Amino acid sequence: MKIVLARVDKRLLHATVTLNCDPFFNTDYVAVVGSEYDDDPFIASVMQLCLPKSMKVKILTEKGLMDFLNQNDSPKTMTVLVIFKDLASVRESVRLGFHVDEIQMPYPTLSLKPKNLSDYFSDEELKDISYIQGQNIRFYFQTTPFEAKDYGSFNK
Amino acid sequence: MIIDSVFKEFINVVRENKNYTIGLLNGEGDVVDCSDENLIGTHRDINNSDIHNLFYPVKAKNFDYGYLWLSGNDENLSLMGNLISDSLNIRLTYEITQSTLKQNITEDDKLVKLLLDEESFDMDRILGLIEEMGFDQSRSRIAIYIVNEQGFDNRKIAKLKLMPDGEDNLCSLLSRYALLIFKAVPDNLENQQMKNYVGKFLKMLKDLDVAGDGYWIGSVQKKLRNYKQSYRHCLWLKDNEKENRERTVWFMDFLYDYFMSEISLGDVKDVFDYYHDFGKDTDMDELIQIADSLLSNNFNISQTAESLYLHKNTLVYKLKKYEELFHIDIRGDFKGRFLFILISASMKEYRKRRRVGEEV
Repeated sequence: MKIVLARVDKRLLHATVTLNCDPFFNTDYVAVVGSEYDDDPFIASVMQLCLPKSMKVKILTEKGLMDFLNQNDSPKTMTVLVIFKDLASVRESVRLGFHVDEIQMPYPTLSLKPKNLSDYFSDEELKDISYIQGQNIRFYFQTTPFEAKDYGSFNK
Repeated sequence: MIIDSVFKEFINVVRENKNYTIGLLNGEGDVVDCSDENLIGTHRDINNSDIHNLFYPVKAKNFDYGYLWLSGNDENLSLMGNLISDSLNIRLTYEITQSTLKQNITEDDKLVKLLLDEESFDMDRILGLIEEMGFDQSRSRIAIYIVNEQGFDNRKIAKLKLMPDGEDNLCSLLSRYALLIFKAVPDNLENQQMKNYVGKFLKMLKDLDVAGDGYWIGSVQKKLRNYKQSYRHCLWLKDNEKENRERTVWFMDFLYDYFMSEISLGDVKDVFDYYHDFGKDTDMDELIQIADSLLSNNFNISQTAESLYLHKNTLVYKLKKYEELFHIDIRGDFKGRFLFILISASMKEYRKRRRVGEEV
């Protein structure tokens, strides 16, 4: 399974509206991680309606994400867009072995230039960021695909 | 309409759960589609929600599609209503975007085809299409020709229209492997400014995974009629430039070569053939090398001699011989220099043909 984009976005599938203008968006799967609806098949069916059937929506726990990524039952390399509910969900997934080179995060404000991370993230979230960065995963701010990736704010 | 087919999918899913009835109402509250077909055509008061009947506006991309109605006795009705309403609006936005992109790129294809038509320039059809598309013809544009040997993904090309100023660009896949973009550019940019501007655009394309094995940039044009020329300049660059993998080649860097290529070198050879016959002993390769070196050193004799590892007097001696042979003034007269370069170009052509065994 090839991860084409990993994003933290509390809007979960709503984020796909923003990402719709991204060429990467034509993925085989959209994995939503950390949603409270992961065990309700009817709600999963309704959420699948957000996207055409050619893009399968998977609502997964962190453990479920790892099982899903490790499955290898298709001769073709499938592509997946992973949307995490929050940083705690990313941290838990990373703890379970999830790895990507970088993770996208929408700008927390309308202004494209965050000043300090502590202005926007709680102490707990900052610890999560630090832990994830410690696993050689970079963060960057980017709300829509046509904005430049801002890695700098996470390196201060 | 998009809403009809999308809502059918919602109905099919909601029917799996007997707790809920889902309906689509028009602006007046009439049920136009419903998971319970018996209720189609009945009326609902959209201003009177209660614990068993919820109404949500259906709106996407500033277009009102009426109201979503969710009915049931379930305690989670409100939660489900929000979820279904969100899903419906997201899905509609997605489908409308996809449909718009498809339509945009089809219109771009049509316009590009008309603009590049070899037979004629159908002004009426072009103006009609431009008006239909809302295309701004007052902008200056530059042709960008990109080739990808693996083939382009047309879904990604369609989404180029969503880039900043994407509406002002014309994008068309001429084949699976060749993409032509007429990129809108600001007026009056100097050469380097233009390179920076277009360079940023190309970088953005690469970031969007629309990369090519080669990039050829034509001339800037203001008139629609001349867009074809800008495209032809790209093709000329592609046909006449050497290896350029991953390289961007700019037509404006090759103006001299382009105009030289437009001159009939056969004519030049014929004109000087008579003199050439007298100088059978002339070393053609040496003449070409000297002419190239003079050109790259701006006809500075000392620098040219140095670059050729010749003594200055030796070079002057050789130039004098050419001057006598062809009856031109290479060292003092601009016209003479120009003619000498033409003679050299015609000899290059002659040499090339002889190498491939042509009778010359």
